[in-house]
Amino acid sequence: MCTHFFFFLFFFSMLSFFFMIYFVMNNLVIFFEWELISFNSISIVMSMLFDWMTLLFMMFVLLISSVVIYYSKSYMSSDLNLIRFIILVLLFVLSMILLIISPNIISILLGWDGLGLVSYCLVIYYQNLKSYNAGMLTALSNRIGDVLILMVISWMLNYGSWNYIFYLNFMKNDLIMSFISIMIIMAAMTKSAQIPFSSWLPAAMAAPTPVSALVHSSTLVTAGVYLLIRFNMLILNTFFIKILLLLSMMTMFMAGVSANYEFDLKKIIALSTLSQLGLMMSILSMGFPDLAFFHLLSHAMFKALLFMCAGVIIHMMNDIQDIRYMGGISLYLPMTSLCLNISNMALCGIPFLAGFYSKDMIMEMVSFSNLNLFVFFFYYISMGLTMFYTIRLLMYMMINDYNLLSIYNLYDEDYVMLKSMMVLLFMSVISGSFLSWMIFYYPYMIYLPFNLKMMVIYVSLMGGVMGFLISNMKIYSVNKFIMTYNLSNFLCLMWFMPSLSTYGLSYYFLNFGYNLLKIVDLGWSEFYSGQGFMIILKKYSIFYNIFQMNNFKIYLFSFVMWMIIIMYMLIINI
Amino acid sequence: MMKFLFYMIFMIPLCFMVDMFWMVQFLLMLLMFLFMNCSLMYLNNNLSYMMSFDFISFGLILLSIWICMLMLMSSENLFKINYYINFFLINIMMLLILLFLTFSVMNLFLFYLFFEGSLIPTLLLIIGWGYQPERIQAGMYLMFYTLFASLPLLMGLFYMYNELNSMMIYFLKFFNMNFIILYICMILAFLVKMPMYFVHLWLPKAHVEAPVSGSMILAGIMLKLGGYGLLRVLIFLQEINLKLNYIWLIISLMGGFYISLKCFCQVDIKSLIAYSSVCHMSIVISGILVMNYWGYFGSYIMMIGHGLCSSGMFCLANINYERLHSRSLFINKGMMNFMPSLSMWWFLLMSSNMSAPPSLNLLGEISLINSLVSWSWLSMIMLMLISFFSAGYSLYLYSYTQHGKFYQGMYSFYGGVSREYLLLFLHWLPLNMMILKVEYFMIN
Amino acid sequence: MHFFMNSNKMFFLFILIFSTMISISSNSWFGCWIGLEINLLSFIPLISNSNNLLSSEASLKYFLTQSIASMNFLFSILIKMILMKNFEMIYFISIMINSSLLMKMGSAPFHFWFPNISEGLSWFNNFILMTWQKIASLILFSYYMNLNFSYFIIILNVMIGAIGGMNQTSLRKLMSFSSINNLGWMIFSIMISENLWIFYFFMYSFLISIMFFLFYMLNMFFINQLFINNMNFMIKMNLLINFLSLGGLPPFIGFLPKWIIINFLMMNKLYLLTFIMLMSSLITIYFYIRIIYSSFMFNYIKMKWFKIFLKNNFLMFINLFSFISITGMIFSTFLYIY
Repeated sequence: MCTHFFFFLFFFSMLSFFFMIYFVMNNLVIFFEWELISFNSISIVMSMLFDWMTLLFMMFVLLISSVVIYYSKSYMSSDLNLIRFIILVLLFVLSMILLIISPNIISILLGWDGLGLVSYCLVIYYQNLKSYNAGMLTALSNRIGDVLILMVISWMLNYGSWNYIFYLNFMKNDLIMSFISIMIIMAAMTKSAQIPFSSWLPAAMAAPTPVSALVHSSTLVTAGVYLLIRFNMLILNTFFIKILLLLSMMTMFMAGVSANYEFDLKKIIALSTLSQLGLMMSILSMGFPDLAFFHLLSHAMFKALLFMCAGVIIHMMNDIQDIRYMGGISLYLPMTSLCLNISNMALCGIPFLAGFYSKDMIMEMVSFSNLNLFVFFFYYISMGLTMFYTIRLLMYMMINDYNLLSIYNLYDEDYVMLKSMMVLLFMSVISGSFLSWMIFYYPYMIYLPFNLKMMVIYVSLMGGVMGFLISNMKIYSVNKFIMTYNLSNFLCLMWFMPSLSTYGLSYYFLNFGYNLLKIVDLGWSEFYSGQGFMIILKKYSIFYNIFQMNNFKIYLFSFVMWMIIIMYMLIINI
Repeated sequence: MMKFLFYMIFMIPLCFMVDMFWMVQFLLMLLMFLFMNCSLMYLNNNLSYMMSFDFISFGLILLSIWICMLMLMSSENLFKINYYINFFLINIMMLLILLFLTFSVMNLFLFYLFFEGSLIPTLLLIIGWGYQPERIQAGMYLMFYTLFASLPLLMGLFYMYNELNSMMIYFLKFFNMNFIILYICMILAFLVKMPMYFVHLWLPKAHVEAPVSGSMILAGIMLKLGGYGLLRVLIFLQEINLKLNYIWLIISLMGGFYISLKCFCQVDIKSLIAYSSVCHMSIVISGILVMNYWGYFGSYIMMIGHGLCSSGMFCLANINYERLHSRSLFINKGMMNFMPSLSMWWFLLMSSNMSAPPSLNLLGEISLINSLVSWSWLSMIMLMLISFFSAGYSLYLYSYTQHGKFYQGMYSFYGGVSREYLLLFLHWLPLNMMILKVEYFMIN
Repeated sequence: MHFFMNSNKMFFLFILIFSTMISISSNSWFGCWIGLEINLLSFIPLISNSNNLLSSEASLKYFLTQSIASMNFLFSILIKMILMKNFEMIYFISIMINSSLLMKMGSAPFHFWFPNISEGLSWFNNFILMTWQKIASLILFSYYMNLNFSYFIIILNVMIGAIGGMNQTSLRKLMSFSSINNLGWMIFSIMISENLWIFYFFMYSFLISIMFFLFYMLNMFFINQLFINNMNFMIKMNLLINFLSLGGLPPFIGFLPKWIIINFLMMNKLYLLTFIMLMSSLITIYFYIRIIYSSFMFNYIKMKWFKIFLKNNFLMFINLFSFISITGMIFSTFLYIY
């Protein structure tokens, strides 16, 4: 059944590829619209926009998902519920496509909500405690974005239509649009795991590897970037974009640093995804949405490939993901290590692979535009850090000896997984150049001094050397540096953001809710309504019953009282 | 109108016969389809002596017939062990007749009469077929909260009758009763029924202690009686409502936030679903009280969507209860290992509960958010918190009951029966498919 | 019914009925007093039963209180006749006359004898005490009413009936407190019009009669006796319906008289009074429902050997009356077809 879906999705991917070429050539845009309801001068429509950006992204998404489904035929072969898995992946792809093709904020909400929920289901696919927590974290972080988009829907009511495509450019300077832009930026930040919301991405590695390959490398996390690309004419040159620049650069840097301290294979790859996402967001906020899109697409390719290789390796390691147990991959798994090397080199921006075209162009455009020392510093340091953790990873996995068992047999001949990796390998070599020739009408004019142009290479080399050195140092075999324990903790645990996002927030709300329940709902509310009335009534009726007790004194007393009342009535002449 | 009324009245002798349980259920389904044939072109349709229906009452009558039918489908357990099944059928038929009459009379006093009258079969359902000793207190709370608030409503109705000499709903829009005490008397009953935050204490008790049919009808329709009443009564209270609605709005919105936090602390599945009902209804109250068209529309859709969704979730809780005889979250966990097909239904209904697309709840929530933000942008804060925590507790319920390890003390039980799947499907289908025909809900 | 077997009781019952007729249809106040005295004297043999100490004590107490009330009544009408020349409406005397009549009825604040005596009588005697004995006094009350005083009495009645009934477990005392509560409504209805009072009274005695007949058949005097092993389902349902109807819950027929009275209350702009009366009827509904818990819950813990056997199985009548109780509202609309 996996092969059926593979062919189905692959076919659609090729179809959208050919359409994309046609649309790019003729600068064509097709718009389908279906009106759900129209009243009070507003209409809720379900619309689909097909232009080259949509089709290109669709092609990449469908290609990666088809390859991932084929891959999971072998990876998840021992799973009892493979059909459930495939259906969830297909639902995910459907939600992603809904998000991609929508020019209308309500249909974006459809795709966005769907993405959040289906990725939740996929992350908690394995039923252990870690997946459960990770899924909750993923779903709730994404939910923040959902809620913000709901609010955007209500603010957009002011403009009479939810097809933001039509009036974004026109209404840029409106006050309400600035509210909308804040909320859209924050929503994109939750989805793409920028700084305040970045704890879910490493945690979501509890998902099965095909899911990580599809979801957390290329599609879900890039949904936020895509949203900002769609909205980019709204948010460029405003104040908020500079905040986004700051946060995304911090993300880029932090992820790079944390990846150096990690020993879990998938977490390293996740943090590298996070770093690249920060790069995409930051280049978007510098004002170059095309470059962000370009990097998005090429990154998708090699990151998915990297995850797949990681999947093969994890299978070999008997499902252990710790890199300290690994080694000697290049000897025993030549094809896999080929893919691993190529994707890693594409990640670092080695010339003429996929990543080079996008990354190098990004770096040059960054150097060419207005920036301050902070931005400059962080961009180049992050590039160096990319090389740093890549070389460290390669050192751990390839160079040293296999550390898990004494007797072992690693095999590379899982042809299903290899075939899927081959497709992505081809694409990750080709796609950079292909895209750069395809989607840019004219080349960028960049004029830089020599050293600035070579800065990329200098930084990469330095990072590579550092990576080589640090994986050879003896002190590193102890888990953390003892001298700099606090610093290491800070840097490794992602600047404590996971604890802030989880325990730091949830404790206060849950405690508050519990107190509300006990004190208000089961306490004072009961006192002032049901139970309190009962207590009062019972008290009065017991008191009354004493009157009934045939006590002569009470009768005489009531007689006297009655006389007084009668006198009173007479006096006031009733 | 008479034909439907007589259809239902003549089903009562059928309830006395032996082995007529499924016949009654089938006849109710037939009634549903017969009722759908009524046209909705005019202001008051099918006008007869004292009854007619207009847009809102049509949808709510459909919902009540549908849910009564599903109530019978879910209570097959009572049929199998023959637990006073004839009286149960009569109870449900009486409830349906009273609900039908409530929604279709044109006279506000008769509406009150049947509104109160529908309380008695509900009370009988809770205390008669519930299974825990706490159901007595639950029934008392239900009765007394509702009665305490609706007796001032009775007073208000008589005051209006003496002033205006007519109680026809159609004529009320020509009058303007701008007295604070009248306003409070009139809407208090419906706010308690809805329920609003501070007076919601009857709802968790009543929903939890009721049997599944009682929970379904309570969550499905009885709460909507309050909404329907508010929609009718606010017609002549518009001026004073515009001055004073912020009180109820603020209580509802803050209350919705507090209740969604309280949902996280529940250990009883039905109690969690009951609190989530209060949370949804708090947004509905806010939408009605704002009195713009988006609010009207959104609250109507949300009422129908929530009726189907909550009722479906109570069915799910009952499916678990019938197997494990416990409603506690600590025992009902890891269900995906035993009944994976049921997990899909849990997920679908849970996602509708948190207003994920493409459910009716989403459309209702979007409309209500629109109306509330247009009333005051400050309500955005509360709405954000309510939506977020809604998702939180729905996911909490889903993941706790379905994923993870199962309770080791489970011995053996059967997987899902197709009747249960049909029940859930019939809940889910209108909920998620009606969004394709939204103009069906557009109030003209 | 054992009454019809006993010719003495039949004789006194006949005289009882006659005495009320004398009392209401007399031209002068003296005739009223004579009727009231004969009423008292003919009721005493009905209730005194030398086999039972409690009922003979009850009859003695009844005699004492009622004779004091009649003496009071005689005294005040004589004073009225002598001092006030018989046609003016002077408040002092009206309060005196009304108070004595209220004591005859068993209305608050002169009600202290009423639950006590109820406790000692059999169900049929209770029925006569709670329904028939009120007719004469209420009609006489309506001849010389004092409105403000009446409002005060109504509030007292209604509240004492509600709160006093909360703490009782004996069915007779409970019904006596509910009778005091309903007396409040009846006093108001007689202030509006006598026709209205007849309607309310008829409804009330209809409902009470079913109830008391049921309790007579089951031979029950306390709430805990209702939790019996082999209680017939129809009897439980009858109890349920009739108590809910007595409480005034729609859609039963007991709602109809309350409905009409509330209408008149609001027409006369007596908002606070309405509120108090409605809230107290809420409290009475509470203790009615407490009585019928056994019929709500289909299964409760039953003792194996506690069984009942019905006294005279007149279940047919009860069922017919309960049917009227359920569907009466609908059928009563047939009376208003125009």
